[in-house]
Amino acid sequence: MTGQPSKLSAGLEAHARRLENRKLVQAFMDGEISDEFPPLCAALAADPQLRKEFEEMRRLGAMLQSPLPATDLSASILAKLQDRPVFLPSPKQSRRPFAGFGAALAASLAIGAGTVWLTLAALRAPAPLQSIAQADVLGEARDAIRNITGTSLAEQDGHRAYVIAPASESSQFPDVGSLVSAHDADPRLLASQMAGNGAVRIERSGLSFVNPGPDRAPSQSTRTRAAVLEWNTLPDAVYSGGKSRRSDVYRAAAASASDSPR
Amino acid sequence: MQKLQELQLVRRAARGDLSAAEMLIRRHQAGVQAYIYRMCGRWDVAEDVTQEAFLRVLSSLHNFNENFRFSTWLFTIARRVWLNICEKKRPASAGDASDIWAARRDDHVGTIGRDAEQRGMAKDAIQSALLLLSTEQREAIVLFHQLDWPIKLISEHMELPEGTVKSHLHRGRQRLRSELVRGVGDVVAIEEPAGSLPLFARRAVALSPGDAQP
Repeated sequence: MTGQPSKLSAGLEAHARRLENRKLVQAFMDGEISDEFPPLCAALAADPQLRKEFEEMRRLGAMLQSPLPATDLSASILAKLQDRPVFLPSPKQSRRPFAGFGAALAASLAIGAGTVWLTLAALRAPAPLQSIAQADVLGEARDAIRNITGTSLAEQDGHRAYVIAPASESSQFPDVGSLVSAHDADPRLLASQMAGNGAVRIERSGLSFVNPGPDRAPSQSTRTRAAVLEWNTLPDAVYSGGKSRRSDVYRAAAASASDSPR
Repeated sequence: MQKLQELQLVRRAARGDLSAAEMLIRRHQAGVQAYIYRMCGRWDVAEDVTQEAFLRVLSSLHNFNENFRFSTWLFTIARRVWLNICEKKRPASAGDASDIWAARRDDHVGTIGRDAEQRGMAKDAIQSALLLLSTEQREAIVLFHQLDWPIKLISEHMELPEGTVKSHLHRGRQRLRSELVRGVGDVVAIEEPAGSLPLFARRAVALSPGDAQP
């Protein structure tokens, strides 16, 4: 009578032990333990069935790792890639509009000085306007500003004035130095280049907005009039830039050969 | 490939450098083909999916998030392409995506046989057994064993918790083992392709006492 329960109990124990040992085999297959892990070695030595299972699993894993042949598709892929409408545009630069305000201040001063110099140079030796400031250049400038500030441009009155509004209530407009970070597309550099080509007159214009700056939280009133960009998209557009301590003005006005200083 | 090297290649390719794009293709095409072939059992599908995945990835490198590995992104796209193909071929009373291929199992044997001739391969018992697993089990096994991905990465790729991935791995391996044993019966060894590991066979793994591990 007592023999059967004890046999049953022993059977259950053996079953539980086998289940535990199987977990060791799975752990080995998952790469969690090595085949020299003592409990695994002991279990394998004590249980031939488990040992067999272990070896089968190990062989299975080795078979799954065997390399498969592959066709070289590179030529075909590259040929088809040429037909795709958009091929490999440059990755966007990361936007860090508020990084490095110290450098931004220095850059602001440098740009302010540069602007004054360019203004004086332009006034001293004005060149006839040419159609270099094409719409696509202005489009690039517009996109650059949008990318840099993370703000949207809304057309204000027809084709002339645009307002930049902050992306969110907590947004601040970047100081001028952070605009400089996108050198290739910075509208002032574009303007400088155009000035160098004699295509643009850079002048200090009246301030039409106030940048609250990095150390001042934007209030509702300053936020809504935080920036105004004006330019037109005419082929003969003139891009004008100005700078004051806490403000930036970008102003573009239609110009023609007739009103350009000579 | 080191992550930094890979990133440099991606940046060059993004600027339109075709040689960099070619290097990326050459470095990753075998893995993608193996992955898709193991998933569906057809080389023609594997090649089509690989091509499409590369085309999508290389033509939108500007969307590449440099915080991730290129290969991870590529495999994710390949998986989507393959699942899309499965979806298009899904019969009206569709069940699991693998049914598409499971339903063609008879046909599959012939396909593999043809491919085997074309590629000088022996009949792949492993592949036949893999197709009997669920899609999740198969994918976990292929990524873990064939491609040597860590479980964490597989979990992200399959969008499943790590525990679930492990469970698929364990059950998949158990079933794979039993299917192979059932499939090959008393065959001692299947003719092996040169250079590959011996195919699974019941007797082939029978151990002599001297083989016992310490």
